[in-house]
Amino acid sequence: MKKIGIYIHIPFCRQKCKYCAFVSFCDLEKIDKYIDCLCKEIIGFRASEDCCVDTIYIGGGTPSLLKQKHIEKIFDALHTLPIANDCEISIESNPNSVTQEIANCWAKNGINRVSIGLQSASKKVLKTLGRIHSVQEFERAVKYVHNAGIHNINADMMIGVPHQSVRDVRKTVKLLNNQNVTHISAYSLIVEENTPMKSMLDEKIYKLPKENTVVKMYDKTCKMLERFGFERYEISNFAKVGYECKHNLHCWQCHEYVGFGVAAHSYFENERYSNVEDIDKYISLITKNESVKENIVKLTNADKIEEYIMLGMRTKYGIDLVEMKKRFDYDLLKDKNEQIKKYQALKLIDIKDNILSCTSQGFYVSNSIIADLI
Amino acid sequence: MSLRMSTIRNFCIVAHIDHGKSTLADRLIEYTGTLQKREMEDQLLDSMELERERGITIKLTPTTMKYTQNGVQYTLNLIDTPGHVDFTYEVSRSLAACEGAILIVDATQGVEAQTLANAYLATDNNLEIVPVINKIDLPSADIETAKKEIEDLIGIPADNAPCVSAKDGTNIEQVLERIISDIPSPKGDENAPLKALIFDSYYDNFKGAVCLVRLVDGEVKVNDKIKFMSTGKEYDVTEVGIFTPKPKSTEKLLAGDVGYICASIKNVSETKVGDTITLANNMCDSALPGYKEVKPVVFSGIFCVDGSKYNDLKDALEKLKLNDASLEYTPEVSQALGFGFRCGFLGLLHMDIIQERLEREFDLDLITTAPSVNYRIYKTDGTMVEVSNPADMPSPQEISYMEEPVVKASIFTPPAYIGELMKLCQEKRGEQLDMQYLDANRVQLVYKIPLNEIVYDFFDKLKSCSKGYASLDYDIVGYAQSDLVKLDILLNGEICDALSVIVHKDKAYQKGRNLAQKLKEVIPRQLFEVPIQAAIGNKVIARETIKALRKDVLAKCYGGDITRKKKLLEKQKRGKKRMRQVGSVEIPSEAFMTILKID
Repeated sequence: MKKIGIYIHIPFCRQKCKYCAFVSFCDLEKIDKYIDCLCKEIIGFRASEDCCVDTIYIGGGTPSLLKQKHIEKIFDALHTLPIANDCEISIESNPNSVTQEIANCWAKNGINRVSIGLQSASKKVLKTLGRIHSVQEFERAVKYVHNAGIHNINADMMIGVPHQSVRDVRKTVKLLNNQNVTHISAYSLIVEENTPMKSMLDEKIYKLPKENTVVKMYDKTCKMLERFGFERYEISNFAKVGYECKHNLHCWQCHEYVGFGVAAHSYFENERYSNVEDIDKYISLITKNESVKENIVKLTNADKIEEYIMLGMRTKYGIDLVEMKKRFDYDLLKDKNEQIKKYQALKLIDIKDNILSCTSQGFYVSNSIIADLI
Repeated sequence: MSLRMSTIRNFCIVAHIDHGKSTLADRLIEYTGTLQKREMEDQLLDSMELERERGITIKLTPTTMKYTQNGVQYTLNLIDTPGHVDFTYEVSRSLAACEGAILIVDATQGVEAQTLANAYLATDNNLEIVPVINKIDLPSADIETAKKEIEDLIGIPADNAPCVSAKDGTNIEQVLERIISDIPSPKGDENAPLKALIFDSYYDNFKGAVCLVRLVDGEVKVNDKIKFMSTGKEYDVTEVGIFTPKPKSTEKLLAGDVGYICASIKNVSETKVGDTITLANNMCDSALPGYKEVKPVVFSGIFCVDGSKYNDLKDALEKLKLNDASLEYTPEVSQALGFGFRCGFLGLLHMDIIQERLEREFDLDLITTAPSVNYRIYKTDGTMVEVSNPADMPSPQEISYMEEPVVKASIFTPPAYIGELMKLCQEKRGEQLDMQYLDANRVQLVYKIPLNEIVYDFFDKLKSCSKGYASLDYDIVGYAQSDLVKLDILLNGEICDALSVIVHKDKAYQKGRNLAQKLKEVIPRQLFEVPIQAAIGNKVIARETIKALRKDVLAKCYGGDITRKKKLLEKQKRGKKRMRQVGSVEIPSEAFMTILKID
C-alpha cells in the first residue's frame, strides 16, 4: 500500500514576523471563505485505491488562529480520504493563540503532535525577530497542550539572530528541556529577500553575529541536546527516540505528499507542483472548480537521483548506495569517487554498510558536500 | 610613362588614433561618388565590429575612386592603414604600396606620438606627405598651433595645408586637389615582368586567401601562373580585380594599379605581407625590398573557463587564423587550467583584439594567463634557449644569465604630467634616454623600458597618470641582460602553474606579497585551511592563509522548500564547475585574472 503525506496551508497571521517570507496574510476576515475552499479542494482530491494517508501536517501561517468550527470542517473533509489509524497529525501554533479550549479541540479531532514556535527564550531576540508572544505564553501553551493529552510537542528555535548571544541560545535549550518537549527544530536565521529583516540588515540597523559565533551556538545546542537525550536526526532537527517527525522524514525520503491550500507544494505521481500563491485567485479558482496547480515539473530519473542525494544527506540515515543502484540504476560511489574520497579524508562524510552520511562536522557544511555529489 | 599611369595616385592616410582618419576616408569615398550617401555606413573602411567600437582600424581595406579634374579622370587608390604600433610592419608595407600619404592632425590635439611615428614611417618609405588639419568645426580647434607643430616637429611645410572637417565634409575637394597635385604618379614598367607587392590578405570562404597587391611592374590576368618569391610557391590566377570598395573583378591589373589577386590559395599564412609576386615563367630580377617575417612578441595562455569547450576554442582560433597570419598558437596543457593554447601576438592591442573576438564572436568564456615576452636564457652549459612560457623556464641552477627584450618608448605629454610619467617609467625599470620640450605645451620623453613591463598595465597607467593626455609609441630595440626570476604561487603546498610569472628580482617580493593577498580575497574558503605561498625556487617570500569554512547555511528544508533548495544547490554546483582544481583546492577563474592587475 502506498503511503502519502498531506500538507495543509493556513496562510493567516495576526502579524508577520520580520524574517518571514512564507505566504501569509493578516486579513483574518477571509478565513471562513478560505476554509470552505480548502475543504472543497481536499474533498475533490482523488487518491488511488491502494493508498493511505499516514501523516497530516497543518502548517502556516498560524494554524492556531483557526477556531473550533474551522478545525472540525477541515477534519470532516480529511475523513473523505483513507487515513491510517496510526496517522501522525501535526499542527503548527503561535504561543499566544493557544488556548486550553482550542488544544482540547485539536486532541478531540485526532491531532497528536503540536509544533510551537518559541524561537528564543530571550525577550530581546523575540523582539528583533518581530515575534508577538512572550516566553511565559510559550510555557502556558505547552501546559495547555499537555493538559489536552497531546505529549508529542515540537518547539522551533532560531540560531544566528542579530543581538543573539551564545548565552541566549543556552538559555533557550535549557528552557525547552525543562518544558518536556519531545522534538526541537533548531535552524539558522535565513535572511530572505523582501523581508523587513533584510532591509534592516542592509541599512545596518541589525548586524548578524559572526560566523564563528554562530558555529559556537550550534555546537553548544547540539552538545546540550545530546546530553538531554535528543538525537540530531536531520541537519536542523532533534528528537527523543521515537519522536522523529514522520511527515518531514517522508519529505526527506522522497515519499509522496499532497499539499492543499494557497502556495502548498506537492510531490505526487512523479510531479512536483505548487498551488497558486494569491489567496483571492485561489478562492476564485476553487469556486469555479478550476485547477489551482502551477509550476508543474515532471521529475526525470536525474532529478530523482539529485533529490534523493540532496534530501538524504540531510538526515542521519544518509543515502543507501545499494538502494540507489536498484531504484535509479546509478552508482554514486563510482560516479563521484574522487569527491567522496576527499570528503572521507576530511572526515566530513562516512560510509558504513553501504550507507553514505554526513558526520556531525559534515552537517555544518552539507551544502558544499551535496553540491559536489549531485 | 604611359598616360594611364600618369592619372593614378596611390596614397594612404596616416594619423594618431581618433584624429579622424576613417571619417576622412569616408568623405573622400562619398565626395568622389564611389558610393552614394545611402550606401555609406559611417566609417565604412573599419569593417569589423570590434574595430568600430574602439574607433581604430586594424584591417586594411583599399578603395579605388575615380575623380575628374579639368577634364582628366584620375584613379585614386586609397590604402587604409592600421593605426597602432602593434602593426608597424603591416603599416610599413601599406606605405610601400603608395607614393604619398595624407597626414591628418587633429586641430584640437596637435601632433601626437603616433602622428610622429607614422610621419617618420612615411618619410622612410619616401612618401610625399600632404598634411591635413582636421576637426576645424570644433570650438577648441587651434589651426595655427597645429600647423606650427607640423612644421616644427615633423619638419614639413604646413602653411597651405587643407583645413577640413571630415565630419561636416568641409573643404574635402581641397584634399582631392592636393592628392592630384602633390602626390607623384606611380613609376613602373608595364612591359617588364610582373612585380607586385602583397600589402595584405584576407580569407574568403569561396575564393581562398585573397592577396591585396600593388603592381610595380608588368601585368597580371586570369590563368597566369604566379610565383611568390619568399616561399617559391606557384599558383594559377583565378581572378583579379579592384575594390570599389567591394571587390569587383577586372580583366587585368597593370603596373601602378592597386587591387586583388585570387589564385585558390588555401591559407593566409601563405600570402605573406611584404612578399613579391611575379610570373612563374617570366620572373622579375629581384624581389621588392623590405620583406620580413613577422614574429609575435607578446605571449599568453588562453583557456576556456569550461574545460569541455576546448574544441570550440580550437575551432575559433583556427577561424581567426584564417584571416590573421600573425596570430600564432600551439596547444598547451596546464595543471590548473587544463587544455588550452599558448598564443603569440604582435603586441598588446593584438592580444586584446584576439581575446575579445574569441569571447564575443565565438561566445567563449576565457581564462588568460599573464602576458609574457620572449626571454633569452643562457645556460651554464653554454647553450641558449628562448622561453616565453614561465612553465618552460629551466631551474635556477641551470641558468647562467638571462636577457629580456627592451623597447624604446616615446611618450608625448603636456608638461604638467612629466613628474608622474617619469615616476611611472622609473617604476617600470625605465632608463631615460631623452627629454625634449617640443613647444610650450608638449614634451617628448624617450625611455628604454623592458617589454615585460610594458605588457602588463603600462598603457593604462600612462593614461591614468596623465588624465589621458599622454600618448605612447614604442619599438623593440634589442635585448638586455637582466636579473630575472620565476615567481611561483603555491596553494596548499602545490605550485599553481597558471599563476607563475617571470619578473625582475627587485620586484618579486612586492609582487609575491600583493598576489598572495589578492588571492586570499578572491579564492573562497574551502572545507580545510589553505596556505597561499609566493616562492622563488624553494624560497618562500610571502604567505597568507585562507581559513577553513566552518559552516554553510543551516536552513530547514521541508516539502515546500525542495524545489527552491534544489535550485540553490544546482547554482552552487555550477559555481563549482567553473572552478579550477589545483591539488584539492578549488579556484574560481577570476583568481587567475588577478595576476593581470597586480603590481
